[in-house]
Amino acid sequence: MRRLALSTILAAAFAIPALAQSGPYQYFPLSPCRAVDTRGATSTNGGPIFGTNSTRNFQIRGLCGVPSTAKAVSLNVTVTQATASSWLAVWPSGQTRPVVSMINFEPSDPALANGIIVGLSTNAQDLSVYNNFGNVHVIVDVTGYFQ
Amino acid sequence: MSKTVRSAALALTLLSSTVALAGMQARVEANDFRALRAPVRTGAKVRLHNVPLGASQRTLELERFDVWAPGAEIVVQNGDGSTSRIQPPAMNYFRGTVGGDPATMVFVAARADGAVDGMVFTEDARYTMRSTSGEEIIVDEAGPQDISADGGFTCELDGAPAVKNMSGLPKVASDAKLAAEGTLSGTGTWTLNLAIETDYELYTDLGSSSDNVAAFIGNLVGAASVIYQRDLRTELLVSYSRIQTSAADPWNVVPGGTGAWNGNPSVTYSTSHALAEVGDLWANAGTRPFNGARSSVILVSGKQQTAGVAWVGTTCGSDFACGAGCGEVFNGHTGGRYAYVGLGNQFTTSVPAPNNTVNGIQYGIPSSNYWALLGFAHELGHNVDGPHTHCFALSSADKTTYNVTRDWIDVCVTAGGCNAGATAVPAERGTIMSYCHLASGTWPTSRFLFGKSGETSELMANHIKGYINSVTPASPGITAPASVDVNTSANASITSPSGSLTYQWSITNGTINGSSTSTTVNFTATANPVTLRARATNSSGCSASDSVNVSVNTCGPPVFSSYTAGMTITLGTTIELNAVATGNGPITYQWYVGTTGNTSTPAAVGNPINATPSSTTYYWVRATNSCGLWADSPTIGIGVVTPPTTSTSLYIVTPCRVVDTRTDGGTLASAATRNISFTGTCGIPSGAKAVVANVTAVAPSAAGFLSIYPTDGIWPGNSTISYRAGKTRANNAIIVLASDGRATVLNNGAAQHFIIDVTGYFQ
Repeated sequence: MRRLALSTILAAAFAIPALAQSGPYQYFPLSPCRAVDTRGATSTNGGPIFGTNSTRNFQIRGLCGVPSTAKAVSLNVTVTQATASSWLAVWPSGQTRPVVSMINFEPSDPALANGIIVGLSTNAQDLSVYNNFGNVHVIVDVTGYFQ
Repeated sequence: MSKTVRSAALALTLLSSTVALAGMQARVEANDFRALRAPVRTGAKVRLHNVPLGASQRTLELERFDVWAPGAEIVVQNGDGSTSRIQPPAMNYFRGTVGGDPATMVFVAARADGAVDGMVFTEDARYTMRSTSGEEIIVDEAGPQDISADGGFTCELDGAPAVKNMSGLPKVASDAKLAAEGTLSGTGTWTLNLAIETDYELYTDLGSSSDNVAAFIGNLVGAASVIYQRDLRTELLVSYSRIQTSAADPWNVVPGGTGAWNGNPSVTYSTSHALAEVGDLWANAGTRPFNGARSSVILVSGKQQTAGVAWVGTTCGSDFACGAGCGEVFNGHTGGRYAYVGLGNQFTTSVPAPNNTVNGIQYGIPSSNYWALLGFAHELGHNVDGPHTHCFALSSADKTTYNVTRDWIDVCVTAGGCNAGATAVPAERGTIMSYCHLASGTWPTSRFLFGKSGETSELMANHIKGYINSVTPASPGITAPASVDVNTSANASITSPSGSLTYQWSITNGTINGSSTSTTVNFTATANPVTLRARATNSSGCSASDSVNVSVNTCGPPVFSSYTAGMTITLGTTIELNAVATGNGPITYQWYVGTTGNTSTPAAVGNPINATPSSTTYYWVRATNSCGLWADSPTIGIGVVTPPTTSTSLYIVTPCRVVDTRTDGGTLASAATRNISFTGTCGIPSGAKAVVANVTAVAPSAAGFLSIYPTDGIWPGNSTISYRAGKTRANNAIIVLASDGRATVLNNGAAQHFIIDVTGYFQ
């Protein structure tokens, strides 16, 4: 994927405050587009499956029509093949995981989804997803962005 | 007495590397006996070094083989008449030699939990191998006096049936069977599928455990199979076995005891009565427990007599009704492919067989119970037309042909029978089919073999092979390519298939694709050489197999292990296209624009490469190895989206229901779509670009998903809400609208209702 200069990574790692407000932003609709599917081959936005207490960082800007200037995206996040009762948190990458959750699921669910509007960081891999327990596949569809 | 050598050299060495190496490999070198319990495949060769035999460290040349036929049935017969099934013991069975010496014999059974049971026979000594802890191997050398303490083993055959007994066999004018082996091709073998009956006494002798009995039968037949494979090119498989866990078993005759027979209220039973009982039970369709393929049926009994009896030359044949000609015992009973092996005394004298217990399962150990092995191999030897060695002799012409000077192979007899010569153990000692173990002397009075090249007894082995050849199918013959490419499928077939036979294929260094029981088989080679083996079996469970080696060109085309998945990117984004192929390196990568196979627009060479497509573009890559063979990736589609140039703002409306199919439109079938118009309702004006919505899937009857997307495009592969049977669920969503204000709902799962509410829109 895109290459990043080391200085950019360091800036992203240290410059983001614990709580931030920004805006206002305008919405730019995009035809629904799949950006992440961990059921696929191992890659930045593909496999492997999430494990217990695991965080992965995905790239959203640059895909699906989301420009590098986007500040937030509207997503539909689907989970499937869960092996345990668990939950996901989604947040802009590069900062400590906030105490939030966006979907709770059971292994008996064939699949489950929820919508979310979430900010993006300026990292190359701009979106973080955390799974609390067990294994689960995560699919992210983009339906628009804000800037 | 025996002496015990505890081998530190064998314990705790090379554990991780050896076991990891073993894998499913076809050839393993090991200093650690634990390599034997790794999952090596049937036919795999294992060379076990530094095994202490006496004062020296020897190498055992081993090959894994099968004892239980595919789908073997082990039936446990309970006292209340019910039955249950148990699985064959989880053993790796190995056969082999000490350092490649064909006069030696090695049998080892190794279980995944570390239990080991093995036996080693050399010309002058015999050893047992065992491991009770799973962490060290214990090698015992059996002393010479052990054999006399066991009491020996007698075979009643000489004095009993007049039909199918010795009298017709020896001194044939010219033994045509001696030359018959030539009909089996060079690498072929025969297979006999055995049905093994047991009785309640054996069950109690073995600790009243069905698992113990199954382990004992497996090791007993396995050890016999080592001898049969070495000397007779014949593999023994157990296709059926029955374990009696109640005194109310079907075996009423106790040899040595008394009871009614043929109208006489009290006769003293011999092993022949027990043999008649076996034949009668199996000849009767009402009491026969198993109708599958069986070459011979053998009752292995724990009743208190160490003796056996068997019909001669009956394996693979039909039952026959006996009249007076069979003798008084058999008159009115059934003869055929039956044998009786009594082992009772073997478990109560100086050598209790099952002396290993690991994880609660005893080992039935033929290795410390030589008479069990001798008796079993001997009686089955009669079934395959083997005479007693003191009853086998040749015509004078054959004696000249085969350079034999003695009238008999040996003269080890105690009394009567077809040769009433002196009791003497010849210099060569006896064979499996001799009585030499009954003569005076110490171990080894008998060798555990049927014949040895260059000696008289070899003629008997040839005679038996001639018989087996005459009752088994012809060598099946395999038609296969001389060479194939690695990782590329190819076909092989039975050269002259017969509809009356069933076929079973197996392979080493490759995999069989699809059916392994057809006359034509599709296979893929993974290493050089591939060995294909085909076994042809007739309705009697008697088989002949053939094998061919196919050389494998190991420089096969590369195989892709991964490549970049198709994706949709934002205009201006540079992506990295990556592919990984394995094979004979170095591998080069040539990328192309277009669909797979279209080489008209080459892109970059190398891996990975960067690409910045300005519109939706297709790519593919050709990976070429050092032999010039290549493989092509699938087409990788990269969609390019130009971000919208006009922004929108959020407008809030009073929450409002746009559609409820329960009152408007009815259920949406699976795989069906419905277009919903959002503008002009709920306060959403014409020109709105998207809505903030809550989508509900109502009481689905099965799992599935709904996908909502602008009506002016095709389904982009997204999902909006996933549902499961019986659960009404809602989901937040921003629904993007087409320029006419409509969005399409696609259902995939089960016909159902849905609801869409809105709380705002973007314009």
